Amino acid sequence: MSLSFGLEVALSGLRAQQFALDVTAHNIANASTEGYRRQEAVLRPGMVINGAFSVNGPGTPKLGTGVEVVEVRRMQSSFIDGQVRTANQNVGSWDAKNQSLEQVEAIFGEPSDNGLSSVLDKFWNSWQELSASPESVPARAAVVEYGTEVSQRIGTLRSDLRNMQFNLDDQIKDDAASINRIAHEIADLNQSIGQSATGSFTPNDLMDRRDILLDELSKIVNISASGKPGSEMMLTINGKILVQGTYVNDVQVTEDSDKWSQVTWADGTSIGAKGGALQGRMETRDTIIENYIGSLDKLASGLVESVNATYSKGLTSDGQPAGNFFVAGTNGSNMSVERTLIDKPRLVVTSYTGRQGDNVLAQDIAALKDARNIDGDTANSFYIGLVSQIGSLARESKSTSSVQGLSLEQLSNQRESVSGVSLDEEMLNMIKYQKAYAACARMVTTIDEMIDVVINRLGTVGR
Amino acid sequence: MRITLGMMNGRIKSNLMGSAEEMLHAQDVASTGKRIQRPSDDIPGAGRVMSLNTALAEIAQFSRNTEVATTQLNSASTALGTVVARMQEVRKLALQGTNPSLTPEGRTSISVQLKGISEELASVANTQTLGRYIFSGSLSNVKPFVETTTGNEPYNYAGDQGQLTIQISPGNYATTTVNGDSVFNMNGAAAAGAPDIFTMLKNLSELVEAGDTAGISSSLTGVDANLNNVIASQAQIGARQARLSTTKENMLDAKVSTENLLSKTRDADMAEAIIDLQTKQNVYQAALSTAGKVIQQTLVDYMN
Repeated sequence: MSLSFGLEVALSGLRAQQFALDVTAHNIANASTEGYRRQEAVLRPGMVINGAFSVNGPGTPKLGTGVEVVEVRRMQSSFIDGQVRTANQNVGSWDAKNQSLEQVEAIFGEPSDNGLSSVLDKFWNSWQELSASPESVPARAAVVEYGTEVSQRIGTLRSDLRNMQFNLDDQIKDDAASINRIAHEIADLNQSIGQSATGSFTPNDLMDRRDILLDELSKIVNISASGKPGSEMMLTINGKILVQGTYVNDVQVTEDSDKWSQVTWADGTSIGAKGGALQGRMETRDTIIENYIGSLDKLASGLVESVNATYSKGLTSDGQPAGNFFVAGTNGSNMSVERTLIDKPRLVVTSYTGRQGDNVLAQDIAALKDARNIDGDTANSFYIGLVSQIGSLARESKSTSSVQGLSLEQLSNQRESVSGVSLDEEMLNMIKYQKAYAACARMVTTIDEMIDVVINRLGTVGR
Repeated sequence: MRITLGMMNGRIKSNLMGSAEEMLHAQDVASTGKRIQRPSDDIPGAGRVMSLNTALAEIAQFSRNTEVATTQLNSASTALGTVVARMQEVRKLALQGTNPSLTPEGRTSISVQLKGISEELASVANTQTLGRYIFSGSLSNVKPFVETTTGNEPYNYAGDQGQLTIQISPGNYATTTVNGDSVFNMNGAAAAGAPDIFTMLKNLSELVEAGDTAGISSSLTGVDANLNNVIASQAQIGARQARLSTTKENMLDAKVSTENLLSKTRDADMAEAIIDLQTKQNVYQAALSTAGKVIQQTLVDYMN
């Protein structure tokens, strides 16, 4: 066993400690990098060889050959990652709904003194006012004015809701584009990972980047990752392949019969998102807001029909049939008071007899306020029902999204606990590796002195 | 459990955000004084606030209707008061007319006075209030008493039998008009057996002029019948006025109690809101100072 063997051992120690210090430096440098997973140099004692000369006793002594770095381990738990991604999908979906419903609440602006509810009150009251002064032209103008305001308010609410649907539609298109972009980036990374993996050394930082992309993707749509964690990774949405290795199956945006964007596969079948922001947006656009628009239309056409049914029985002062008050057959989108009445409010009739002081018809219309003719409800209580419905869904989505957010936070903490960089720990490691490095260096010095003894002082007796 | 920099920062961030959000809501409540900012704050409460607002708007409208009804009834009452007073005068004049010692000048004077009263009553009968003839039924734009030159009757009734009713509270309607033809007995139905007031006055003035004391005496029953008829109408209006003022009081009570309920449902208890805001501010302060302490130091700070 040569003296220089000791030098080799010490050298392996110097190299390994330096390598480990480099890893520590990398960790510290990335302490605040988003998505970075802590790395750890895995050291292992070097190969064991037979000692070259025997020491006292039977057998050959075994001798270690120093230390080697076998792996740079990436501290990560696939189990927690999977859970984080499931939580991401839930949070994505409920957040999307919550944002929209907060907007819907703001659009309706109830309870307040100037919401649709108070406009409806003013409309019914204007008929009361007219019935108290059936001769009054200003009272007639007020009836037309508030009829118009009810129409316009419903129209504005409806078009605001429609605009939200259009916005959501745009976001859905963006989501589809994001899915494709991320899928391609992942495929590219898969290729790089395949090329740069050597032996037991994995391209950790590339894998970190891929994990970030997976997190991002899981906020948009429900994905599951399967297959090998390396370059062969496969991503599926509801069992259909999105990415496999370097292959990407792009999703498409197609318009359905109502001109709404649908996200489909190349063969035209819907990807059927079950989670993530995409699902939340589609549900909000297609079900939630659509329902509210339907309710507004029902309210509008209910008002139009019931007011017209009474009004059209009236007679003008020349004994002519009164016609309609609201334009017949309209809904929330185009509800309006008849043009002739807007131009000449004095033509509004108040009676079935055409006599100027007769107010029976006006009274009957004012009484429609309490008539349960919109789905078994009065107009006001139908509208209050709609607002309550919006409120309770907003509340549900708010509390669910905050609960889901908490559970995501919990899981992220667990992940951080495994993968995050602790500066205290890195400092300790730094000291550990530094001391070990210093000790190895001292070892080299020691062996150097031993060699010095052998070379310069051996066999110089009596010199 | 390993505690890392990311965990600490993440936790601090979410705690700060959480307490800031709660503080913001407490601020909204305290600064607007309203407990319910949007329906999701209290769903049944928001619905109740909307219903109560509707109820208040309705009460306000019914109060306005009651005012209109009161104005109309008041003017009808004033008009009928005038009619009653004039009719009593007529009765007095008629009695004077039966005095056989009257000079022809005296008779003419009474007759002229009777004619004057007839004209005054006609103008009272054509009273207009709030743009309507109050004695013409539904034909409120039609002058109800029109002078005629043909026939025996000096005036014809051009109105109709309709009456104006105004809703003054839920399910409660007030009739605000009396029809001129019944007040002035235009068709002889209201005061049976007597001619209408204007014909009666015309006949009476002719009888006085002619000095027909027997005729005057016999027509006194007609004067009495007409007077009683007008007094009956006046009483009817008085009863309606009384009912209106009761309704008005009830409405005021309803308004106060509805406003109370609305305030209880919608408004924040200010003491509670301010204490709540203070608490939330303290929590936020605590979160901030905790963050300051936690972030400060790591092992690095203790190494040379």
